[in-house]
Amino acid sequence: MFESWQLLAQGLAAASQPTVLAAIMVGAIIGLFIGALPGLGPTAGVAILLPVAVSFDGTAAIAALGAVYYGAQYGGAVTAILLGIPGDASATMTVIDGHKMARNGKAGAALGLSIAASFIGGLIGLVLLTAFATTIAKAAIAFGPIEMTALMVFSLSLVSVLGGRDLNKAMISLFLGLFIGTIGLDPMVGLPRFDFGEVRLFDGIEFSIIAVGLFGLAEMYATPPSTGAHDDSGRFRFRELLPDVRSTLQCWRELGSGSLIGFFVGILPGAGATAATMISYAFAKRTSKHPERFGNGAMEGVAAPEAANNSAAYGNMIPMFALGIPGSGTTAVLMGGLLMIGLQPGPMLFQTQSEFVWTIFGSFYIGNLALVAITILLTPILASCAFVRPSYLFPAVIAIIAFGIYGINNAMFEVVLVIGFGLLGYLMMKLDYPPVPLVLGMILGPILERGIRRTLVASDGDLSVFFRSPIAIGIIVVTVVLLVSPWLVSQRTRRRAAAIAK
Amino acid sequence: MIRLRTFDLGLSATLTLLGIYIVSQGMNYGYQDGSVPAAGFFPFWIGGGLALFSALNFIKMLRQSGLAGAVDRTEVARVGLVSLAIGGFVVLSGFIGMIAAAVLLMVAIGAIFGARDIRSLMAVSAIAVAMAGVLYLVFGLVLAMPLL
Repeated sequence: MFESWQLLAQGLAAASQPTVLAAIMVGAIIGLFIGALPGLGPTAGVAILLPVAVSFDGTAAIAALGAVYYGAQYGGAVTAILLGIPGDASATMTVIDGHKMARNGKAGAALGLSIAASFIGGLIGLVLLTAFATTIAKAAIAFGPIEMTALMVFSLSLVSVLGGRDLNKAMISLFLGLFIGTIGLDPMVGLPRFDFGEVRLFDGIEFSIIAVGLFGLAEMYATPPSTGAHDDSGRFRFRELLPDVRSTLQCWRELGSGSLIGFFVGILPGAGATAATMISYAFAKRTSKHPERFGNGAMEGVAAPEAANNSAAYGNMIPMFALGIPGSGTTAVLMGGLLMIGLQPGPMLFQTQSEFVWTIFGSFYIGNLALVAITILLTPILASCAFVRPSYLFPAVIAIIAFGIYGINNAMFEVVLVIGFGLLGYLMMKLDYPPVPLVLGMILGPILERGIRRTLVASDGDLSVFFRSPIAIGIIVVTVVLLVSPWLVSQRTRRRAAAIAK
Repeated sequence: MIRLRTFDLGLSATLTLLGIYIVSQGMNYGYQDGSVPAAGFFPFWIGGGLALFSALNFIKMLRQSGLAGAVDRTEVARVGLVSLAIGGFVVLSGFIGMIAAAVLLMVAIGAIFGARDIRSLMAVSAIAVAMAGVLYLVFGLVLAMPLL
């Protein structure tokens, strides 16, 4: 455990280099704006910036993309409190008491408290990330190719929790992603597959093209042209934004519970920051001596969800860094970024790229601290973000997308592909096909195929090899439970409903 | 209004056919090489899965008439126009250069998303010109990307 903190100290020093610091600042500011802008969530934000970021140095790129993710958690609260518009889904619970506080003339106090809660939640999440990531990665080192193949099958089974309401549509999305992952040269024998006679498809389809199309363009396609109406109930003075130590200390219990709930819910694949905020808010209300204050502008109602969503952002990164499993849409896109710069997330990353991992973790600490000052300084501008018309915002975003995608291979062919994936993403959004399983399939499919084929080549085609490892058997059992449980639950609910109807 | 059920039926049918195509291509690549899986092993199973779940969805949609909602025609038109505008950017870049094409793209996108009066168009044009400068600076100079 002590070793982790020593490595973190080195990581903090490495993350203090000007290029990484600049990347953190740029990423954090962009994340704040993305969090504040209704419509564009952290997944879309990270996806849009992915092709631009990977053009820079690898460490700076991931530091910037990470900063976009946790910066969005800070930004979402500003419009939620001042305008009652959650810029991001995870800020929805903050609206309940935060906007009420603003309406009661305590906008500054609510914003100050949300900044303090975000910082404390983020810090606790980071400390837990530092403590747990290496432990989990070290345990996973015992995994050989068989266990890793079983783990990839388990990761794909996450479709049952990441896939939304319709499991059938989630499976279609997953298989579509697996198919896209097979486009290009076969990883074992180099045979071109599904290239449709196009040489430019020999290397497969770049991940960022799919991420930008499915999450960025599709999001904009579905946004109606609108004009915002101003609501000035959230007036505040700049001095009020400074986090107030006394009110922060008064909420110590909610800050602590929110941070812990956020982190552990964040680790669970598919649960995410939004679920963490709901659970932490409900817990804070249930354990409060004055539950009647909740919903009427309670400080605790701001502290708990804000601490939770920031802590959850770091909890979410544990399965990605330590096991190579993306537990949410945003971490799936981040994982794609890691793959694009030539790094394979998973237990070996801590062994082979230790300096990189700890520099990134160090950058998270710096970013979390910097965001306190940046949020205070930018709050007036962030508040006005909710009123930026799509007709002014989207032209710039689409131009960035076009240039960023062109820059991957200096070719317009990729921009044409992005249009196609944007249309596919829009269609999927409208027809309720979840896009995250597609990303999951595209990222994990090639790893799974290599694992299965290498293992079967080594065992001369003997499939029973997968059932000789106790770890692999354990993972397969969990996978089956994960896939079958939603079906069993729906059957039970149906039976109960039928019994009640009788 | 266009019924989403029509889209879903069309998408499910297309994906079922795609799944069958993937299976047949997988067979062409070779399912097995001796006792070990060959290049077509993985596509064979993927195609099968895609065809199966898409066909199931197609049948489900056939049974559920009128439950899927509808989408506004203007929204579909907007999606088509944005795609056309980006396509136009791709074509025009080869003739007038990426920076000039980007300015036109941004003005077009602004107009599609509601900036149609003179004042809004002026504002979008100003944003487009400023943004084109930023794009040139970042992509052309800092990243030294060979812009068209």
